[in-house]
Amino acid sequence: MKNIFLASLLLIQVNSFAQFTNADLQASGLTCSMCSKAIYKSLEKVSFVESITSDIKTSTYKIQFKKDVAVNFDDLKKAVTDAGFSVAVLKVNTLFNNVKIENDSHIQIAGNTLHFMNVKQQTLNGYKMITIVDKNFIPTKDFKKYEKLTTLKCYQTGKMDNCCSKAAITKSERIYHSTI
Amino acid sequence: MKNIVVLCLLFFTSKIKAQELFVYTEPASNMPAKSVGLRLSNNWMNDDKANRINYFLLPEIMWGVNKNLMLHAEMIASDRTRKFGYEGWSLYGKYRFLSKDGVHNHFRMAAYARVSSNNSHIHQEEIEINANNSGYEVGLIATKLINKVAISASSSFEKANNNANNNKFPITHSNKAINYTLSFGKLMLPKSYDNYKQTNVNFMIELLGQSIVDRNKAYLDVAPSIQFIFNSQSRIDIGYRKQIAGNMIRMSSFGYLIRLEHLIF
Repeated sequence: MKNIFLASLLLIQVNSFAQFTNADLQASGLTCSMCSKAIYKSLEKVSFVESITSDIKTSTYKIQFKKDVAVNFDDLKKAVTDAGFSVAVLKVNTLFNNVKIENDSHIQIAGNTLHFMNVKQQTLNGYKMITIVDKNFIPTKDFKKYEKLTTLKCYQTGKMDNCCSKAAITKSERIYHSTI
Repeated sequence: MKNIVVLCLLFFTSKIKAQELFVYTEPASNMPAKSVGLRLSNNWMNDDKANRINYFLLPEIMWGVNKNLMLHAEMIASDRTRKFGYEGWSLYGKYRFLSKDGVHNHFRMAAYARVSSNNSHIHQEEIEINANNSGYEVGLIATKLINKVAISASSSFEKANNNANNNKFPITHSNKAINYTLSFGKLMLPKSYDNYKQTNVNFMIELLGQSIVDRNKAYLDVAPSIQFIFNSQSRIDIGYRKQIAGNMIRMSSFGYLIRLEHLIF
């Protein structure tokens, strides 16, 4: 049924579009199940989260998003930090249809602006996992690696800035840096 | 002392998983933001002077104000006057100011403060504002979790005032102390985590020391404990605390503890 729906969408839709469906989040700073449950309970309260399955051993949470509800990655990060821990990895499964991406390009997905880094110019179709690489979404040492790949100010702040002037921007609007 | 060193070495060299939900000390980590914890501590402490066991009941409510700040409020009751009754209260706050997280590891530091009121008679040189004295305590905690081993250390300054009910602090005693602790924890069960309903069994060993300022008086206690965690939400701690070195007059040089704790997320 899902495939038929997808096929219909692909046939009908002429313009490019994309949507988030689910995410894999790995938390850091914990080993115990009590800590893991604290994160689980905190993520459960996020408004756009439909369901979560957790792997205590790897501190990984598979998060299913509610359909047609706006997703906010900062809310997921806040849920983890409020529980007392950090986000180590956030990979978001995203359905793309004819979406062109290239380095330092912006795309809008379900109300979020994504800024792609360290990618080849390509057109995306079907389900792809994108990784959020903003500060506090990856370990500090990984952030420093990405920092070396760009001189753009917006990567430091996570907010749109003059460096993003090629795109239609609203200065200081949240922008998520991501890669594939 | 030799046995303790051997025990500590065994901790470091064996293949272990650690827990930092210590029984006799607090880790630098906090409880989740906006969560509430209920704790009921039962202490059976030997009264060294009267050679009897005194029972202390300490109900406590804990609140995670935000991810960095938590507050505790506690009531103290005991039967040390041969009649069980209210003895005092204690407020505790802890602020986590440093947090470096990696997958399955972290380093955290926190500052804490406690203020207490107690109405019991004072004859001991030991200062303990969480059971015997009115006063305050300020300290620092550092907790390291690395390669599944958790180690926590703390140091604090503690000052006693006169107790309530006109029980004055003895003028011949020094009312200031420096405390230091070192804690280790080991997860014994389960061998492998599958779900949140598995009962966790942790073993802890803690060293608790105090030096009285301006006096050549000190003690060092060892406190082994076992902890059961049910449904990743409720705890039962069973502990034993005993002096292994010391030269001060104390209310109690050994005692037992049973603590119940439940976390409401």
